[in-house]
Amino acid sequence: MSSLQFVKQVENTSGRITSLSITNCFPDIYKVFMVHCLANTYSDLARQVDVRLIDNSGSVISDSEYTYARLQLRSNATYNEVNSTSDTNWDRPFCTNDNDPDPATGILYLFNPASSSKFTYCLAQGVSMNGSGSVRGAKFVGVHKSAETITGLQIFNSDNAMDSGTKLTIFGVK
Amino acid sequence: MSSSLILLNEINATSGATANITFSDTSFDVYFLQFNDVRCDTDDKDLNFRFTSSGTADDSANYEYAVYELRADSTHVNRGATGQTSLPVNISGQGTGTGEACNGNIFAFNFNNTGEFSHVTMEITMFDFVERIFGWQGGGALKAVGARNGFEFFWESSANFTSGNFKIYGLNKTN
Repeated sequence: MSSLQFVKQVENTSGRITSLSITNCFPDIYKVFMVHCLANTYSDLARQVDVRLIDNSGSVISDSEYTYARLQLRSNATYNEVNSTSDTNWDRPFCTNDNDPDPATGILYLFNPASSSKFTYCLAQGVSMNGSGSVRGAKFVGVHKSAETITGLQIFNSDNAMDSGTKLTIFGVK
Repeated sequence: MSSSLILLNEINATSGATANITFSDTSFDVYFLQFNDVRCDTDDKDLNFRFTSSGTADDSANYEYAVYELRADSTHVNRGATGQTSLPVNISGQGTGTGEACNGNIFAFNFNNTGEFSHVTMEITMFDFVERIFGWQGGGALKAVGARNGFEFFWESSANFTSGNFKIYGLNKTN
């Protein structure tokens, strides 16, 4: 049996959206999960794609419980840092969905989301464009600093800037 | 199609100054070590590791690393050193407070290729002893040839583990 096991996928098929959630996707038979994100762009609306977690009651967590450190890699400029010790979301682990056809994509690992007694940690790398054809990459680490059971994950941006084909896929690492 | 990520061994550290995880299947070119919820019994201690040969940690001063340290509290830092007797998982002390832990992914290369140096890439996420997030992205090497069969993790100042799940996988290259 494979040690990387498909758990769940959601895909947006209804046109422009501002958020996409995947729920009941972190069963406690796994300690670590791998999340694949594809955030397609609607037309030429470039908006950053942020991440929040979903709690045991199905509510999206927007409290100031997120901390992160992010390096933005830029093909045509010097790299820069984005950090926070207290934010209401994780800031662009998958970068920004940019002018069509430049989606925000990446892989994010979540550690121990199913545990009610542990913080949830993440590692991620993302890639997209900057609106003028220059690559942007992200190296990202984060913690959700509340010991609670996490049951899902949401990507969101603004202005209904994500399009059909946007999807989230969850794998468990057994 | 057969599986490509093959679990070879798993250990759960709950005590003791070292945590050793080894493999016996030498058919893989690439190994993947994943660890989570690694915790120490003493505040402000660094976690380190060595490669093992026939189960014994190689503590020669032949380790070298270069990593990029992400942190939320201040400017990120380039870290590196030569002639080390181990490789670091973090360089700001691990914490013992609620939820504070270390987690990460390590890919290992050339562990069965006795004609080449052994390499690792590291991706780490952790909270330190004052709840500062640290990330670790980079690589390391043992600049000596020889067969390796696993890893030994240990804390600064011989502090003890209180938890830690370690799994090692092989990346299968056949259908």
